[in-house]
Amino acid sequence: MRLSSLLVNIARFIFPFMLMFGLYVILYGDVSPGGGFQGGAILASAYITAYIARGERIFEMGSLVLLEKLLYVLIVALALVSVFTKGEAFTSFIPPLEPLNVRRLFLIAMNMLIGFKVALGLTSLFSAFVEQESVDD
Amino acid sequence: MLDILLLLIVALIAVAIVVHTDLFNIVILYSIFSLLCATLYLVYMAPDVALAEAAIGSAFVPMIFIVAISKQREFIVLSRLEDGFLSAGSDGSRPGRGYVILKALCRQYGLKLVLCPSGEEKACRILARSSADIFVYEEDGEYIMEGKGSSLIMERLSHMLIDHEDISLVLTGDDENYD
Repeated sequence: MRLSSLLVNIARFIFPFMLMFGLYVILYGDVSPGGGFQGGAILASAYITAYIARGERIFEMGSLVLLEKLLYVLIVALALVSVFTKGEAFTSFIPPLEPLNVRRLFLIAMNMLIGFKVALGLTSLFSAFVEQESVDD
Repeated sequence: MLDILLLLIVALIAVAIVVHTDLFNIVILYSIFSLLCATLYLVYMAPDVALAEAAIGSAFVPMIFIVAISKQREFIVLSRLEDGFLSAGSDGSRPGRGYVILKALCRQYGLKLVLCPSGEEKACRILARSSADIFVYEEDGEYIMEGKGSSLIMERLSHMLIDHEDISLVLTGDDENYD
């Protein structure tokens, strides 16, 4: 794709801010609006701006999909840890009598896993569209 | 008060999306539609949904649409001809008749004409990746153009070919594939 230099320079400027905002939304998902899914979508948009700035794909699609599958297994595994601590699946594995700052850890870990999984999924979706693009080399 | 105003604008833009014909304008309007929807979610006190809508609806989906549209700007012609019927005439000779017709067709729709001579490895690869728009070959001294029957461009091409007796257009069904 041929893009104007105005668009490329603005994409270069805005990329770190988008990355930081996405990470902020993921990390503060349990106390403020947003969460894993929203932050992951913002990270995927940041990847698109990086693609515009560089004009070529950055990640290999096969590894993206593989990493996404791995993260899915990790999410299920983290949710199943509570079987050993509480005897009940798909709840927080930290006992309810712990202080709030400790109980937050489960939500933060879950939000991070979901956020990176969503970011990788949407990124591989975008890559699938882009890689079919060029017909003549 | 603000929500009623926003709802009215959203309805207006929805009508504009349906009415417009230029694809790039539609994508931009869709992006504005999503941004206004996100504002509406915020007004109705759902900031979570607003964040998701702003990130996906107004940035991610329009970008995918733009990539898909820019892919559509090419008109791929696959030929099995040996003579100069489709030659572009770049080496000083006159351009072929078929080339002139297809070039005029592409200029009308703002497409980029891509000619792929058959018998090369490249042609097979392109055909495997995205099936060609038109397939040209010769049979009993007659040129035959084969294309998918459903598209509007084919209808236009059949009008252009009325004056040329020795060129015929064969339309295949939409579900038929070359492979």
